[in-house]
Amino acid sequence: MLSKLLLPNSFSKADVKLAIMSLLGFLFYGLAGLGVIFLMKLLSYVAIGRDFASSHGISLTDSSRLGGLAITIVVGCYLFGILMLTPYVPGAMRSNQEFYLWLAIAACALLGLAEDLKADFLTPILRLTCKFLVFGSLLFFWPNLVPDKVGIPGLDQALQIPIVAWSVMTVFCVGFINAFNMADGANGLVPGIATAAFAVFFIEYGRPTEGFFLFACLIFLIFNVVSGWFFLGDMGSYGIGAVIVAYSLNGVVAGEFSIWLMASLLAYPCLDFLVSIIRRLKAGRSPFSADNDHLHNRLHRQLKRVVKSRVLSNSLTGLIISASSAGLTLFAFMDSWWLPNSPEWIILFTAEIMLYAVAFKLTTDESSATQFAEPL
Amino acid sequence: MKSNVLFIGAFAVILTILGVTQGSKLSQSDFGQKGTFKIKPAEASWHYLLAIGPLGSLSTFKIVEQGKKTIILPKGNLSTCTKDKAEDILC
Repeated sequence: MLSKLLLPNSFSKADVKLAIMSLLGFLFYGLAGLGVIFLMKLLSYVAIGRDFASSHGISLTDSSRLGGLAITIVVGCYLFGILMLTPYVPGAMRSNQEFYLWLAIAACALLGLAEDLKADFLTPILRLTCKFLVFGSLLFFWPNLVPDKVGIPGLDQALQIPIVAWSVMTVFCVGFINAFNMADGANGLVPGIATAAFAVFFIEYGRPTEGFFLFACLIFLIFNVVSGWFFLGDMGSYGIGAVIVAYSLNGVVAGEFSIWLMASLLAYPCLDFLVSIIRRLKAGRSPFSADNDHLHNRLHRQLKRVVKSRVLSNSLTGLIISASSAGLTLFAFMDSWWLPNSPEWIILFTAEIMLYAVAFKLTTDESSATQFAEPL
Repeated sequence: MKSNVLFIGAFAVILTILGVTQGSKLSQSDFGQKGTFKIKPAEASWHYLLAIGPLGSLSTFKIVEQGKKTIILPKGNLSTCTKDKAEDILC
């Protein structure tokens, strides 16, 4: 290693990438950021959770699916550290409701981890059933988590009926987690959205837990975008999806966030999920069949024609989409365009729907047939 | 390869411990106790910047500042609030 440092001619592409990631991690979060980059590099060596190029969305290089595990380790280490060193008491230790909420999040993350460690260990239908059971039970025993008003005429009346409110919110939570998982198809896409979401939560609440998630997601975003060696995996997309849906529910119930702020922040996974289901049903396929006609696949096909580097075209795809959806909302939130609980965020959400529609239309490629696989 | 793994692993552990301890120290162990924070931006000396970077330091200030607005119960019994803190804490 020392000889490599002393002899610049022997620098490989991987060394240069590691140096860039280390520099960025250090610039944002000092030596702590550098430590997390090293941790992620270490986990990318692990044989378990390897994802071969042939089995992943638009990535063309072998990589690791243990990004979710890396984020869990980082957040866990820092939480444990401040629990030992400061009088801070996290919400899960102060309130039973928060405890069971985090337990539900942990259950979702573990479902994903099982899949990351051994592909197809659990069938998709079993995973879906487990998520329904987890969130169904949580919202049944803790009805305070179910909003009774979201500011949408018709839905507000329906939410007054407890069984309807419970059903709608359970389906929404599970649907969102699946949407988050489905959107995880390009470097920096879901990590970028997650980073923007935790930045909004941290700016609003300023508690250590959100700060740690922001830290872990931002460093992961750097690692994912620069190297392309490391993906969130199912643990990351299920776990982070569950954390974000929990924060959104809590924020909307408490009147701290407007539902339209959350909708514009998380527009891409939700829109892409709905559009994908409609597309598949129109084509006479199962709504759960996997295919390569998401907006990120379409954009990537276009970018590949002008960008030679595989990793760069993949990362540009993810960054363009996350920056023009969640990134734009974060900018608007930081620039105080509207109050966090203002219904005026619907303007931004509408703009994002239009942007999605225009981008989808512009990236239509008649020469490329949609590839798909029916669910097991 | 094996030496690379050991080298990177050791650094990851050392730097994480450094980040946790320095971040906690910067907060002066007064997380969430309403209005009692001793920390001032001027205390962001170079070693904190080195350990947790500009975003880590800013985040710690944010946590401390937000703690003044959000009552996060300190560990233990609230009746242990001392008189000198009582001016700032809703006991």
